[in-house]
Amino acid sequence: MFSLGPLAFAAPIALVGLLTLPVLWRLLRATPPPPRRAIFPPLRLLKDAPDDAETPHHAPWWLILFRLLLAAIVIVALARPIWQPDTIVETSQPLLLVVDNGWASASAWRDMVREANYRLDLAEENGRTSAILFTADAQPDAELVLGDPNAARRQLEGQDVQAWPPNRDLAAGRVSLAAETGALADDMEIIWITDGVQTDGAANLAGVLDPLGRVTAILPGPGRSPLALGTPVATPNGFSVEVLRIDADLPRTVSLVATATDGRAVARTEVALETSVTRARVDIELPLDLRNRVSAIRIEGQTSAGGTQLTDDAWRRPRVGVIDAASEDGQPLLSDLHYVMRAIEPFTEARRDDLDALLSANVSALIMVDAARTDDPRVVNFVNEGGLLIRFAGPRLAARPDDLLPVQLREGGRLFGSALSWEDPQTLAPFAPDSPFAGLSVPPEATVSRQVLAEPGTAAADRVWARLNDGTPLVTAMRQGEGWVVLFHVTAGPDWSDLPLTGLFPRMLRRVSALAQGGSATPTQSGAYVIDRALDGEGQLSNPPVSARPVPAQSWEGAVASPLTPPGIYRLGAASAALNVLRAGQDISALPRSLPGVTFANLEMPAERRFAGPLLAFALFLLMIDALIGMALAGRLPRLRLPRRGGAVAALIAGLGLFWMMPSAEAQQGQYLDSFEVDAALDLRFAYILTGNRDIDARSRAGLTGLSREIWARSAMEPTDPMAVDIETNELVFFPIIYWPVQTNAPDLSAEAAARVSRYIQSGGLIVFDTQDADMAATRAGAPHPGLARLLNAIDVPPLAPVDPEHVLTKSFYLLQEFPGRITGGQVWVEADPDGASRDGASGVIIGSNDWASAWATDDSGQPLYPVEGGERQREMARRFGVNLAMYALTGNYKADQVHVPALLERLGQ
Amino acid sequence: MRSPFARDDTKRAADLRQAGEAAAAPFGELVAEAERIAASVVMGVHGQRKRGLGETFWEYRHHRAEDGAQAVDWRMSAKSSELYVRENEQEAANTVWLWRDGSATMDFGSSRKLPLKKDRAAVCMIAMAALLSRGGERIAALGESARARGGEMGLERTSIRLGTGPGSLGSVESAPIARYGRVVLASDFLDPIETWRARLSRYAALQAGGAMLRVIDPMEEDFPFKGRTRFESSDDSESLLFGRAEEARKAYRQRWAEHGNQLADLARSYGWTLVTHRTDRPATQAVLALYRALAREV
Repeated sequence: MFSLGPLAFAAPIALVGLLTLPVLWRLLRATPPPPRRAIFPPLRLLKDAPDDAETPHHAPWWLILFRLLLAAIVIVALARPIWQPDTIVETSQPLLLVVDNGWASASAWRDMVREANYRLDLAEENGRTSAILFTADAQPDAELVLGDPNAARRQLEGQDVQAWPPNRDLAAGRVSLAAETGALADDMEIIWITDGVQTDGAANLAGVLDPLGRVTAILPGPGRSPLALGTPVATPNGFSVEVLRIDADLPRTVSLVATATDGRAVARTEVALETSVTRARVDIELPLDLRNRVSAIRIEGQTSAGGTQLTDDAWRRPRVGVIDAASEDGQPLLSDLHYVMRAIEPFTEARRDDLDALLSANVSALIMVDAARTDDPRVVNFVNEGGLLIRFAGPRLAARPDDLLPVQLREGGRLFGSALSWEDPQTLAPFAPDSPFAGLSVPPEATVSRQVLAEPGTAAADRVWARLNDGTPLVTAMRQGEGWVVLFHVTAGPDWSDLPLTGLFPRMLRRVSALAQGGSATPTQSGAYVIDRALDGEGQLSNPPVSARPVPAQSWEGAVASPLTPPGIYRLGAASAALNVLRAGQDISALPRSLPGVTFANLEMPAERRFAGPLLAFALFLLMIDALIGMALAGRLPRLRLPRRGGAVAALIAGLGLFWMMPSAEAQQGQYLDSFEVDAALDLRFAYILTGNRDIDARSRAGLTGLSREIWARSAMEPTDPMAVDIETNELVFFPIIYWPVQTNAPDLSAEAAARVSRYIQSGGLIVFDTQDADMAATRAGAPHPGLARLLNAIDVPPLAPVDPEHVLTKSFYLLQEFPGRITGGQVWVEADPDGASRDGASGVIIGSNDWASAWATDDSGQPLYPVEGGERQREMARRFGVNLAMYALTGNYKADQVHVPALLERLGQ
Repeated sequence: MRSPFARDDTKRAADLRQAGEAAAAPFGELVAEAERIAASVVMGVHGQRKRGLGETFWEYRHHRAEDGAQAVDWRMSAKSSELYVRENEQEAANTVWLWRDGSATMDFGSSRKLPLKKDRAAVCMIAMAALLSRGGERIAALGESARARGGEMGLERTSIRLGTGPGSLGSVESAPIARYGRVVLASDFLDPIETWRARLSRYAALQAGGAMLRVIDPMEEDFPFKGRTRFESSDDSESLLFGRAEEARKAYRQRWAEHGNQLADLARSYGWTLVTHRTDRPATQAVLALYRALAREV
């Protein structure tokens, strides 16, 4: 091999051909181009005109240069140039490829495959046999035998990154079995393309491979080493999660995203990992509602199964156990437990039972009222292992404090407002900003008449979450072991305070219960967890592989990600549980460099490139251009007039071609905005979807024009002319409202358009679907509108419900109770749970059938275009609805707050 | 060859007719002044400068005995003691023979933007036909029309023949025309001067005069060729190869100019007018020049 810097030639002899170029030069100069043909009627006059007739006219210099370049390219291509050749020692040993395709390979997989292919190419060139082995194979039953490199390549094509870690013990077993049966040779070149993550079987595998030949382990290299995500842990203000990595040579910034079930991002944050730091914890502040909505946390940009943590129902709805008291007297309104149960039921899976049953049901929080007080050591264990214990004070605690308390208590407690006291019942002080209760408003009627008192000095400020107005602690909390102990210094019933009677009480409990987390949510019941959705190697939920098996509930604790139990969401009855690649407390570490007999190398980014093929293709391309030039010179290309600087153009074309050939050349993608986007973005406009029916489109346009005019006249909003949107091609994000007339024969949306519509709704847009057939809807006899059903199937629409009388749409500008259009009476549907979306509570779709466009439509002079069923009064109502709609689209749930205005005014008056 | 006009004959005739009428539109009535020709006495619109049957007043003369009482112009006679007779001018229509060369060399247009020489010649001829027939002349396609006709029908028939007829040189050499007829020939006149001299001499014998419209393509005049070029005649019968066409340019242009001069001399010697027209110029220029030429021959 002969090399020039990074360029080498496999057949350098062919370069001698370059010496013929000067000869070629003379030859090309001597050969005139074919004559141009011209029909010339006055030929007679031309006869015997002077001409140094056959003195050859030289081919133009640039054409000669062009042809020489062509020849040079062919010669160079025949010399088989290689860019950045690997210094591979030519060998005749058989090749054994061991490829890690577990979750950690996801980020480097393409390069790993390229490396493997390259090794197989080398083996094929030298006529060596080869075999390939995957350590995380889903079906590890293929026979491991040396054979044609093509067979190995086909196996490689069939493999993908898996969601589970590699099983190197199993791989070692397969290698030693093959070695014993003689399917492998004794002296092989062994390439282990690894993900660089240590597993139990790594040493074993290295030990098995070492006697079979020289083992080279190829690591992914610094940029592509895997990142993993630890189990998320609930904190009072949200949750925290740990980012793990094995390669700490470089600082790295990782962005995390927490997504809800519908795929919308709920939270996003960034973690900076400094040099030599392999793990970093990040706190994400998130209100409880939003936190409960988190269904997965992912590392953005580098998606892999290990970079994904799925949450299950244990995460979302804490399982809270209320310890039953033996001495309940059957009077619910006097029972502490009654108040607690009523307070926590809305947001937890509450269960009232004795301690044994509760602990065996694996609750994540225990609530212990005074009457149910117990000194059982299992409670201490429960807290130490990560449980949340919420205690309430009472006469017994006041009489005899115990140890499982956040603060030391004084015996006896404190009494206000009684006959023997000078003091009035105390109200609560506003919550401190660092308290978990921060932001909750304190109602004045929440008074406390008795409480247990903390010993002064033991109630450190960080343990006190709520105080009375005089500063005495009302709620104290303490971290114990992995868990929390929270003490309310009053009873859970109304005996000592009015707090349990106020709305504040359930809100405080809700904040506290945010601390509870799943731990293991597995009840020890019989049955087996069956996989519902599995993570794939890219960290996306997909259909489970056929290899998945049910996991018996008893062994759920010990389940780890593997081909039989792929990570994902498992179900047992109504319960769901997540199996993640990294379980709680698990860490990842780098493959030790001390593996026996293994030399390490990095996956080199710029692998060698052979470009004899592309060069020859390019030469062919030039040959075509040459033919074209020849024809142009001969006048046979009728309308092609070569520009005067033809040479420069040809050189430019050739140069561009070369540029395209260069390995590092990457064209930057430019994007230009067309006028549609500019128009749409520069002004506030409504939009309507083109249906292809000219009448309907004209009506939509007239309707939105009329509505825009009304809104301009009546409100501060100043929309300009509406725009037509072709749903298959145009971008939607510019429009606050899109009016979508739906016909029964509406065509199916393409997948791309459907995704665009879903994205539009998720990003806060509002689509008004109007079937315009409220008057004829009865003829469908309850069957869904076929066009609408097709549309809604295609796009991602949350559950819908009829507009309720309190909906913001009824009061965003005018107070309305009906939404008439040309027709009135059609049911109008909105999202059932607008708070369920990450969109500030505004519904993303409104579906109706009242043909609003017709009612809104006006001509240029402002005259209505179409008759309305209920006359001018109904047209006015339709316009008011339109104004409300526009306000709703622009202000969201802003007007919802106005519901409280009367109450607020009343309070201000006092 | 390329042509902006349709291939289909009927359609083509209509197209050419339309283009011709468009070219004729800017002109007023073209009334070709007739020469005094005693022989052709067909009534028409040309004053014959002598008394005869007509509509326009010519002269009053004294009454003669043979005139009879009806001939007296009583209004004039009442002014004096003499009897007068009112005489009108003798009027006659002239006949114009139009010919458009259809030989192979005319079937040529150097660029897609330019019309074929043949088509441009036809357009000019039809324009002339339109103007002449509107002025009351009788027109005919030389060698193709059986007899000259006036009016709309004559224009229609002549246009079709001018647009789609063969336009053979035989018509020029032997077609019968009346004495003192007027002839308009549209051709590229590429044949040798002597040939044309022989052809025109026949008209001189008939005392017919007229105009020649020489239609040339810009390429023929400019000779824009460079480099190695093979020139072929229109009918592919012969070809000439030039290694460096630009070297022949000077000699060619000299010969071209010489040919043009000889042609002009020839025309002058027979009392014809030569109008030279390049196809890259508007057709109206050529029609205007022909109009002037016919009008001048008073």
